Amino acid sequence: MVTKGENMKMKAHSKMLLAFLLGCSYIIAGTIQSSTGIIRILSGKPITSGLPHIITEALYIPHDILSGLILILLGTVFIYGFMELCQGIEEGIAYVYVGTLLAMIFAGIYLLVTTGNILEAYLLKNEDFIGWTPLDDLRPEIYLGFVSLIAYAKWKKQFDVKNE
Amino acid sequence: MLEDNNKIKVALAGNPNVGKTTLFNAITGSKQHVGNWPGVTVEKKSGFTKYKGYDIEIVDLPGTYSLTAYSMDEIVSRNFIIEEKPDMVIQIVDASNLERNLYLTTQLMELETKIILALNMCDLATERGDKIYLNKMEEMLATPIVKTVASQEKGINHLLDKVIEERNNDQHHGHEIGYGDEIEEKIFEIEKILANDTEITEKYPLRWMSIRLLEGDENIKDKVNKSSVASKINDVLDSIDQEEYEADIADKRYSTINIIFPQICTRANQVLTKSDMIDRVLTNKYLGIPIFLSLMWGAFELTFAFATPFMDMIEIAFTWLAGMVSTNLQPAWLASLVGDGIIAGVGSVLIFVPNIFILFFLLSLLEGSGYLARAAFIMDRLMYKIGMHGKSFIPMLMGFGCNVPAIMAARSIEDDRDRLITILVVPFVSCGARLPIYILFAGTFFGRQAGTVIFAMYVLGILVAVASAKLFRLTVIKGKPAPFIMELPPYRVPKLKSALIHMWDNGAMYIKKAGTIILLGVTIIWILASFPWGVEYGSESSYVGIIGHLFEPFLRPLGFDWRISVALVFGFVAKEIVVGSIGVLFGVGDNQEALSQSLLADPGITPLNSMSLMVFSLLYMPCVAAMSVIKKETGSWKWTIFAILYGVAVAWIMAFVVYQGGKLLGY
Ligand SMILES: Nc1nc2c(ncn2[C@@H]2O[C@H](COP(=O)(O)OP(=O)(O)O)[C@@H](O)[C@H]2O)c(=O)[nH]1
Ligand SMILES: [Mg+2]
Repeated sequence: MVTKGENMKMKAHSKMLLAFLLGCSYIIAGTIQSSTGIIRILSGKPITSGLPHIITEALYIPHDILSGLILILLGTVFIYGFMELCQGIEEGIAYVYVGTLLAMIFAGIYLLVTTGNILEAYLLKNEDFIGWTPLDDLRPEIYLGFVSLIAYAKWKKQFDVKNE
Repeated sequence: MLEDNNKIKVALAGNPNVGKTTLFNAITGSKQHVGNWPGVTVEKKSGFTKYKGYDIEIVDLPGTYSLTAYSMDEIVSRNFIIEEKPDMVIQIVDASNLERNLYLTTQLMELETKIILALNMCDLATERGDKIYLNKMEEMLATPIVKTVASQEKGINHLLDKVIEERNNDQHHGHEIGYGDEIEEKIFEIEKILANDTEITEKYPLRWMSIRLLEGDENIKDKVNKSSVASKINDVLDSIDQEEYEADIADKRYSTINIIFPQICTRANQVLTKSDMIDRVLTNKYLGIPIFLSLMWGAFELTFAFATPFMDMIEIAFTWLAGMVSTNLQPAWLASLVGDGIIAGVGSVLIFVPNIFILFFLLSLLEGSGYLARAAFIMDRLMYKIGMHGKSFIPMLMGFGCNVPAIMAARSIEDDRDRLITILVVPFVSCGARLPIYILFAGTFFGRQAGTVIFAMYVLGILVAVASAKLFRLTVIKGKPAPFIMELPPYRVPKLKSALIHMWDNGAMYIKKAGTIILLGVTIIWILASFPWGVEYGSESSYVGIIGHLFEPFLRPLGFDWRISVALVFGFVAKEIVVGSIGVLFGVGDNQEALSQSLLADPGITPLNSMSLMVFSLLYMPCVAAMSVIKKETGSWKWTIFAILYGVAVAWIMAFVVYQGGKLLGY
């Protein structure tokens, strides 16, 4: 028999796990994104070889400092929630909730940017976009945001608590 | 006088039955009867204690739920605080009943005295499983808070320590409730009138008195009716629906408490609403400001990146139009006027309509969601440290649209010095008219980093505004900011319709400007570029060339040639003209080429001097419209001229640093 209380605890555990995994993913992706951005600026040329190149190619990570910092911030929000939940502070769930919201906002921003690029490439047939495919715009903000979307959809009901 | 230095007079206020008398007895060691104060007939109860070399007088006020004038108790309490001016008020708060107690707190804040909250009955709250976040509570209410259990004499020394600390602290920066634009405007109007009566000004906090009048407080009305400003005040009061105002004001207090409460306390078995959860994160001490910045960055990223296809479409249309004109229009001078002048000039401004629309759409989404009001709250502590009023943040944000309404919005700041500082620094906030300059140059020279460069310009504008405010505080406009008025509307899903309307209003203004003042400006530049009769169009021997060369020595160290100098000189009329004139002067000849291509091809323009140009255009001076509204709002030529000279000086220095520094670094 699973009591109601235990059931609640299990749910909190799965949220803790999610917050931890998403938090780490965002922080790792953000760190790579920022540091390759720094390398690119310091060296003055695009990164086209070596380990950083292989990793960023495989994970679709652009080389950009500021957007990388934002990824780290998003990761921090999740980790903050994870740490509060670990300490038994139930309100830590707020950070998981807002973290998924922010993740979806930034995914939305980059999807709109991609939409703009699709217009450029296929409608206006801009020369700069020859050889470009929408896959070139894939980045951590988008695919990690998609994971957040699934988590949000799954827990929507629980986030939707009403004040009595 | 020396004796006075270690005397502190403290009033105890609070709801009935929160433990005031128990605390009074615990502090003074007297044996007052524990029970309610039976009205005014009873003598004022006061006691003394000596603590760490200070003589502390404690006065026990009647217990009240509010400070309205419904009962004699309330009048006694507030008259004591206003007239006898104790050094500070300790409000005893029942920790197990926080929500109800906070109503009185909001009213005490308006009396502009120092407040300390004694969080009493903590034992009961803990026993019940409530959690109270002391730090967060201190932060949100901007008052020191001490936990006490009066019945066990716990926390008394800590409380007295705080009393002494507060007494010696003149950095007090309170928070007050904001009542929304409509009511705030009336409050401000009444305050202005009351300020004319010296007797009232000396005795009463004006904001508090205005609010009381709007709430229909008979006791205060009597006082005002005996004063020199009676008839004017009554005119204002007659023009409003008093009952509605009274209800709205009380509503606003309750709704602010409803938003604050879940942030500072979680009751056992209570669940957080979505709005509470969002607030918990977005007003977090460490995460709040970074999240705000990242959302603004996202907005600029979209403003730039999502707009490009639409800009390209407009550009294609104008290129086609220019081609039509140059092949079909006769005589040649008319073709040049329309093609090189009007279409190149106005077209180069109209291209940015998509950006303007997107930026305003996003800003109104942020505003409509209730987030911008939170942002002002998050920024208040930072702003205070800088010497600015938290409320200045809203005019500064409005400045992103257009500085003119932003400068007017500074009216909502009561304190004249706070207001003057805000007016003087708002022009550094980058308005929509400056955006085309960044988009043109950042887009041309910085490619994929354009969004970040544009964001950096906005941040630079804010930083210069903020640094200037600090400088003014330290030099010409001394003093410290007045209390912060906090308005925390509930979060809402922003309404698409009102965001679209807001976007349209601002976008339409931009288009209208393009059709009027900018059309005129570029026509004048075309004329100056075509004469005297017979010179090569836009060459150095034309009038434009002559004007440009006049200013060039001054601007040369910043990396600007004579053409950029002309654009900047005319940009004083409206900053869009900078881009318009660059369109007229650089788009010369081959109409098939886009402006950005001619810029790239021009050896006189490099990424470095385009950066310097962006910095200079951001800061150099308010446009004519902003300048005239500065004159109107400050009522002073001195400050208007100061704003211009200061702006030019700062812009010149910053652009100089960017350009010469960049050259040294080898860019
Ligand atoms: N549990 C608890 N009871 C308290 C505390 N402080 C006061 N009381 C009790 O609350 C009741 C009301 O106290 P009183 O001082 O008369 O409140 P007043 O009406 O605000 O002056 C008395 O029975 C006190 O003993 C406290 O910190 N904890
Ligand atoms: Mg009592």
